[in-house]
Amino acid sequence: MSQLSVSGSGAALEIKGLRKGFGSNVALDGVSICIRPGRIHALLGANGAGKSTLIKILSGVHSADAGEFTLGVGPQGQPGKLGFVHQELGLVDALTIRENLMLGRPAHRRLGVLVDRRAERASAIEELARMDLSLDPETPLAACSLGVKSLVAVARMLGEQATVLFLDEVTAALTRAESDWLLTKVRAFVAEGGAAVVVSHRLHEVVEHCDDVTLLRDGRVVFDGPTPSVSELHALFISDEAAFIRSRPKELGEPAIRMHGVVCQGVGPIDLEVRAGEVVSLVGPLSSNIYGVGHVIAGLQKVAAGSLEVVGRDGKKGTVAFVPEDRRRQAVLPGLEVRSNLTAGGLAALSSMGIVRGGQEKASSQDLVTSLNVQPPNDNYQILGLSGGNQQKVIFGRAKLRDPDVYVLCEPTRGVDVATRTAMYEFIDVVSRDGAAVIVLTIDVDDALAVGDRIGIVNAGRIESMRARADVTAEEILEEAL
Amino acid sequence: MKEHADTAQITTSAKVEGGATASQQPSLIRRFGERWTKVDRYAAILFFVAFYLLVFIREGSDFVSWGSISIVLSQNAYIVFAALGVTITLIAGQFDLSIGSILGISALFVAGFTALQNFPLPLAILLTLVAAGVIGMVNGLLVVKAQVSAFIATLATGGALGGIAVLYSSSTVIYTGIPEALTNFGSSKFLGLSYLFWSAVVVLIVTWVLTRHTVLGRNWYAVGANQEASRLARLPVGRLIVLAFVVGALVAGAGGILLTAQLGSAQPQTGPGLLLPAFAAAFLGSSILSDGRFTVLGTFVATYLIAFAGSGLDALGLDTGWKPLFNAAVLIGAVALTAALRRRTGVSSPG
Repeated sequence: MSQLSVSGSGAALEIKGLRKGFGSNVALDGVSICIRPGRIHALLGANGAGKSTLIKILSGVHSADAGEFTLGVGPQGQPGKLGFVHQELGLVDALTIRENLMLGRPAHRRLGVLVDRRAERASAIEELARMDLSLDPETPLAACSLGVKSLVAVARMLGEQATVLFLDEVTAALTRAESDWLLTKVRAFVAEGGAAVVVSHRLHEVVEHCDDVTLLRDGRVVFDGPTPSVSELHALFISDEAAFIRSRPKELGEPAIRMHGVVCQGVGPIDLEVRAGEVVSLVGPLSSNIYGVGHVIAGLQKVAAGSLEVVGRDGKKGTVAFVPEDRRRQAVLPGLEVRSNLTAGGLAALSSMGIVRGGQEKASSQDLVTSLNVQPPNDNYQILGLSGGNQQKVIFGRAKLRDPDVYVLCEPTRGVDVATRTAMYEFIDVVSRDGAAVIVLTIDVDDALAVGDRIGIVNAGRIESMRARADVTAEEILEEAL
Repeated sequence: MKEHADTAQITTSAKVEGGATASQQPSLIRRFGERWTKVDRYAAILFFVAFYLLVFIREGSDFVSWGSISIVLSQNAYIVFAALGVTITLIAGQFDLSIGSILGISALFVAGFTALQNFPLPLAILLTLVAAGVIGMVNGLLVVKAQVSAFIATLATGGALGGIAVLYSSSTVIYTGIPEALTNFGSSKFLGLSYLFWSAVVVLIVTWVLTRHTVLGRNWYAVGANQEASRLARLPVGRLIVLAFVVGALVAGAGGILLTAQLGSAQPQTGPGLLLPAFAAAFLGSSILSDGRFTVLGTFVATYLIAFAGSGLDALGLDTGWKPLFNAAVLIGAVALTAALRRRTGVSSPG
């Protein structure tokens, strides 16, 4: 269905046959997309579909194995330029709005050395006005809301004369009102002849604000064309993985985790009971503080009120394993080998009198490497030498090491390849059948549906509705939550 | 930061070309890079060997005589203690800039406790080690509880210790009244090598077991690699960091006692000058024996590589002022090398 523009000259950005592999994994398998001026183009796809690889190639982080992309000229005939705004925004909280806008730009200078504040201020006010922001440019960025920060980030890219603007999951962290505001400003930019690409998980946003849609799956374009209706988009977006429901019936045990009225900062009150053998998916947008909910369930935050009880399979106090949402920042131990990464936090059980039993550690670590099919199957390998998917397997192995009664898994499939995604689903299925309670927290509807026996929707740090898998459809979740 | 909100500027004429050239280039570069960093790694050792050869050729067999080798081994033993103390905190991801001052004040304390306070030697040693441990705990608590960066906290405590040393000793050198049992230890030999050197070997073995084979040491490596990940893996990050400062200080404290045994005297100015050789050894060790990971064995080997080079500078008849210059060059070279080695594995360098 790949749509190739007939006259390449009219495109703001023409992507042709991009291919990229990491080892044996093909991340992009011949992707061609035409981004046209005057239009907002949505780039959709589940975790591992290839969106971030595509953006990394366009921004120069990776080089493509094959294929090319060509930039058209801007509306005033200026050379084309890509401007990226990522979810983290790339701004510096400690600086003022003006200083953030001027970051990395040839500064306004007086006498060659002195910063010309007046000129910078004037251009900052002008750039903010484009965003309908009438803020003092000397406001510290730290004092701004996330919505305002995202507008500043966009203003900065436009100030740098970007002709094609990329919003890489920027709206995920925003409230609906904030993202509507942001996308309205993006609309004004494309109305003047610019082009924009929006990566988003929120289908309503796509339908309301985007003109064209490209859907990636497994590194290929599976849909490319004008934005279809909501129901068509829903049907397209739900991938085959969502059908990954086990037909074998499960035996559920006693409740393994019981939470009553648990309140922490920004989270709760939460009431949740998950039985041994059960998988509960909690799904919600980033702005719902979904990971904060995960940290609370995993017992990583001091509970301000309410009770959190974990019961083990033996009836005593149970154990909880946690997989954080950001693998690189919160899970991987860089510079250490796979074995140390697997046994981190679990060495006490593999030791006597404080001395690690080397043989026992090696055996446990090799077992996990084999059972999780970590590639290469060598636990002496540096963790950062592994692909994202294999790193994720190691992090899952760390959780499994202590054979916990409860697993709390944030974004189990973020940044992994398709094969690993399936392996992670199977992991969750297997440990739950072995009698563990599993709670998955994700912003990815596919993940939530693929593994959950029950699906809960998280909003504003609370679980708003909880339904059995059979009683809920992806459309309903997308309508309600995202 | 670099990846975020950046702007890729590609004009109409510049294209990202695919095909054969694109797929071949990275692998060539990578292969070259791998070979280059391997050369790098041995380059450090080659540099030292070449330097020793140069000294040997110019100055003859005196430099490699058993007598001069055994002197270098014993006289630099206390630096091994300082370097191992630094290494333990570096493993846990922390810088201890007070390590030299801790060693210095421990040397002064063991001399003063025996000579001025007339405490029996075992009590003086115990009190000295307790003092060192307490200083380490203060450093650790400043970092963990008061959230002061390790740089600032240990810079301050190190400076404060210099002041305490001057006040305690009234700016004088303590050389009378130090028990013979201590000075005899400093001059006794076993298998032709002094007890000082064997003490360094013992502390190497102890810290090697501690860092490689105990839960505590392995957890230090985890915390040093990624504090947030360690916290989420339910490691007691704060306690581990405090313990690293305490154990590092204890090792330095033992080194101070050894220094007084070696010199038979103690003076309040020892300390700050030790930082450079200690850090140079830790970073050089991390680059020659592993891909930028701090190890006690690497530190031990590197301490003596540097010490022999220092003795080579002496043999060449160069002023002692050249030693700090040499150490500074080694530290910078080793950190740059570590950074290069870590780039290969994608780990950010602490230097």
